Order: sequence, then C-alpha cells, then structure tokens
Amino acid sequence: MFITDQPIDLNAYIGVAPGRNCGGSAFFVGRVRDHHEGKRVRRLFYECYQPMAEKEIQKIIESVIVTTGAKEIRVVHRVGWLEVGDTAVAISASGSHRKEAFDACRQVIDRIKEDVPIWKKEVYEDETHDWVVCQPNQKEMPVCQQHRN
Amino acid sequence: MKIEVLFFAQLKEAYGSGHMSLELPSEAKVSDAVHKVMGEVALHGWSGLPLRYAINEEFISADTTLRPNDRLALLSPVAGG
Repeated sequence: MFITDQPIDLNAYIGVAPGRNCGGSAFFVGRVRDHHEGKRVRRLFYECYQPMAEKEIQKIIESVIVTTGAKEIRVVHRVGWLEVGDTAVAISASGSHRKEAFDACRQVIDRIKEDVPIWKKEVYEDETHDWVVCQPNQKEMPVCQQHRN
Repeated sequence: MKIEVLFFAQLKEAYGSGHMSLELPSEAKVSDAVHKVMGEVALHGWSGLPLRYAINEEFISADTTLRPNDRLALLSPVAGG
C-alpha cells in the first residue's frame, strides 16, 4: 500500500535499512508549504483514485528500477486534509551507489506528479480554494498552477 | 449498454457526485461518453479542462471502444507529491 490517510512517521520511514547490496540511499520528503503563487495557504486536501494510484505507483517503481539500476524504492503518499508543515509524500531509493539512488528518487517524484491520480486542493487564508494543476513543461518538470472555472 | 463514469477533484465538486451511470449505444467510444458527460450543465464550466481517461484503472485513449459495465474515469491534471 502506497497511499495512506494517516500521518507519515518519517523517523520510522527513514530508519528502515535497505538490503546489504545497497551502498547509497536518497530520500525525498514533500511537505505542505504555506504559500503558492503569492497566496497564503492554510491547508490542503489531497484526493485520490486509490485503486489506480496504487497500480500506477507500483508501475513507476518497477520502471525506475529498470531505468536507473536502483535496488529498492519505497513510496508513501498521504491523502485527506493536511496542515502546513505536514508530510505529504516520502520516497526512499537505494542502490549500489549514490547515483542510482539520487536518479531513482528524482524520477519517482517527477513521475508521481505526472501520472498518479492524486489531486490537490489548496485552501487559502480567506477560505477560497483552487485545485492545483500540474503539467510537464519543456524541461519535463511539472509546473503547478491554479485552475479555476 | 451501460457504463459507470467516475469523477474526481474539480469535476466531482462541480457535478456533486463522484460517479454517474451512463447509457450509450454499443460500440461507443470513450470520446462519445466524454462528449455526453461534459454536456451536463453542471460541468459546462470545465469544458476546457485537459482530461486523461482510464478504464478499469488503466490509462486509455479517447478512441478506445467501451464495453458494457466499464468503469470510465475522467482524470483532470494530477497534482500529487
């Protein structure tokens, strides 16, 4: 299970040692920040199409292991209401050497932002809200914008 | 034939529900279903939203032919992470 509606315990997450064939591990932690495009963010709501999100994350992990040579990748993404400072996503990638670990960690978070059916609603200080839209730009990095009808 | 359509995020908010039962001619394609669904008055404000589609939890293209009881998800741009 990669999706949880419970707080992510980073100490427990990072404390899990990889296999003895791994010499390097990289971690990415995504947290709720207090601003977006000039607006003060009060809290977030992550919505998820969970059966598909679980499948897509599994596919991403399998694919990134092939492309980078990483040995182990773990992912957990929180859904539901999150407050500023809460951990939204944690990724650990381990490989024989640091390059595989860093490459895998980066590729996993980039692909999660592009392909995993999870949506983010930002609620601002004035209690208005927007659904954030992320799309790849020319550098193949997701660009997040507000999208309001 | 009958299929189920799933909504999320802004489409779910706009429609007021996360799913809809849809009756379509046999051999209808995903694009036919989307055209019919987005014709709902509640969703008119989102007609310009770029969508991807999934049937039974797998990404598919708009020209995919639907089968009875398919679960078609309309996926607006995602923003996980």
